[in-house]
Amino acid sequence: MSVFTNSRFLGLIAGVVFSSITGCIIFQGDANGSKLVFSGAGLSARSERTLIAEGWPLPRYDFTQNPIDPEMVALGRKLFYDVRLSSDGRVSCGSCHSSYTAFAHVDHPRSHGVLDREGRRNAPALMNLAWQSEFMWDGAIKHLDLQSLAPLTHRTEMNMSIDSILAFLKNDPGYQRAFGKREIGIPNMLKAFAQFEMTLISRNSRYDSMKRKQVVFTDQELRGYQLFQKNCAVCHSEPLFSKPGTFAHNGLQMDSILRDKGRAEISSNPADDFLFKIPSLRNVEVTYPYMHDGRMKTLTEVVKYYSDQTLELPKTLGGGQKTIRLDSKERVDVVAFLMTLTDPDFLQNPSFQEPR
Amino acid sequence: MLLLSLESTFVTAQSSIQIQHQVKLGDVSLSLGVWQKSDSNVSVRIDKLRWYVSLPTAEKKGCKAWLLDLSDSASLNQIYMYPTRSDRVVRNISLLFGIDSAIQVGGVGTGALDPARGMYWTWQTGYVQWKMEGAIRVDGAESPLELHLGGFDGPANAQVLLPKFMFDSSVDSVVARWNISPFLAEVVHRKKYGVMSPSPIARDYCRIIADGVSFHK
Repeated sequence: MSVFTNSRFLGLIAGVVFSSITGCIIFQGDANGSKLVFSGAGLSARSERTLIAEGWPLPRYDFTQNPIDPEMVALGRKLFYDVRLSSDGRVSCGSCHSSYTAFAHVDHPRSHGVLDREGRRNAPALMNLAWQSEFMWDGAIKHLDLQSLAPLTHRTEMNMSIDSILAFLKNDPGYQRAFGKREIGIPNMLKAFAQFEMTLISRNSRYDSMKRKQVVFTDQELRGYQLFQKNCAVCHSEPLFSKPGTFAHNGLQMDSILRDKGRAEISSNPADDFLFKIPSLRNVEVTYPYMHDGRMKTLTEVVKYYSDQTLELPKTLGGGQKTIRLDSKERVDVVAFLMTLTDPDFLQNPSFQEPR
Repeated sequence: MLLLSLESTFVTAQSSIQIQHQVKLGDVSLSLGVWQKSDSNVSVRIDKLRWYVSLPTAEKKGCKAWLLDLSDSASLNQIYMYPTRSDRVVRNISLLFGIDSAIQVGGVGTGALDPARGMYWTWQTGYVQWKMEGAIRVDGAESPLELHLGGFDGPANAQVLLPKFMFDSSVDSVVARWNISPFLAEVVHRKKYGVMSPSPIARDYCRIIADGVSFHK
């Protein structure tokens, strides 16, 4: 049985430790009993109980279709950081999704792919992906296994063809070894990507510690939390701080150059104009700049934008309008709370970084 | 429960029937790479034609889809499995033009559904269910023809259940005739020779393609 844990151990145990006795892989040790464990098929029963107790929903991912396997996770990690999977040999998934910033592309409103081509959208943070059912800002991809094909083949990102990827993998000795006895093919490549990405679990922020009653919020953090619950949580719901499967218009005007209509570009439905996926706010402190096109540089700017808004809620959130009014002091409190969502263990986890 | 029990009593075995798919322009077989008339003032040259049929959800025993390719005659001979029931002498073929939604959102496929087959939209979830490439001449004016049709979600849902074909146990092979003349007539009528993504037009085109399908002993 393969077992993954993602929790803290005072920094003493970090990285991948393989136990030949138990057949376990441990991403990080655990000193507080809050283990999150993947069994060979997916989340272990104990992990499910732990998550449910902490208010987490069950993952959307069907692990029976792609049982967690340490070799596949390692293969996925190798693929994730391989620049040779781009047409100019300079761009990997990790180029735009840095582990140190929750797999967002810090300080880049819109990322540049091969030949410095620039896309139209901000690279989203990657975490807790097993709990999501739709991917990309417009929800174009409806299964994690298939998500990686989009950036691999997009002309402004990695600009490869499926055939060229397949030929490369089959001819590369490193991948011949990494695939092992598995067929070197697109399906196994995609499943490996997904397995690595599913290990990117963030749930050890100060907020999580507060929920586990291991720390107590400061007065300011608590005020911010209460304001957040009142004003923001309808869309950014705990504990994922997002709303999987829900798309909303946050009131931003369309950029006249990018002309991005969001979900409508996929659905051909005018009712979906300017709807974008509601992103998770976990680790939001380090995932700047913000919004689907990276137009806002700081958290303060974002909170200020929302602090004087009346938003149309999507029907899936009950419809109607949501008016937010926050004064300057309250805005600072909300930012203070948002910073409790930063998960240092996640950001510094060597298992998530480029393999050396 | 009683009905279910009775029904299961009658299922005795799985049998198979061979379906040979043929693509026609009226009565004439479509050939790749040559100009052929599809109407008095319309000619087409089809260089590539690949499409999917699959089992409808209710009929599905696991993920089953067939990729048919006009350049690969073997792919056009489909073996269709069906339950043989002792209480019934009439059987039927039930096929979906396209790929069932549950498969589309069910993760990465293998075999006919391997994205390396060139029928997957990498920038969004979903398979191209009809990929036709070539050229078309209308009143002497030539245009490229590039129709990548599909879609399974919302108003762009292009899956179409083909008409059921009933047969008795004496039949071991049938011909599925895909007459694409009405479809090409619609393409000419709409003057929409390039469709590359799910859309209401792609959906309409797929429905007209399906209308042109008939089964023959």
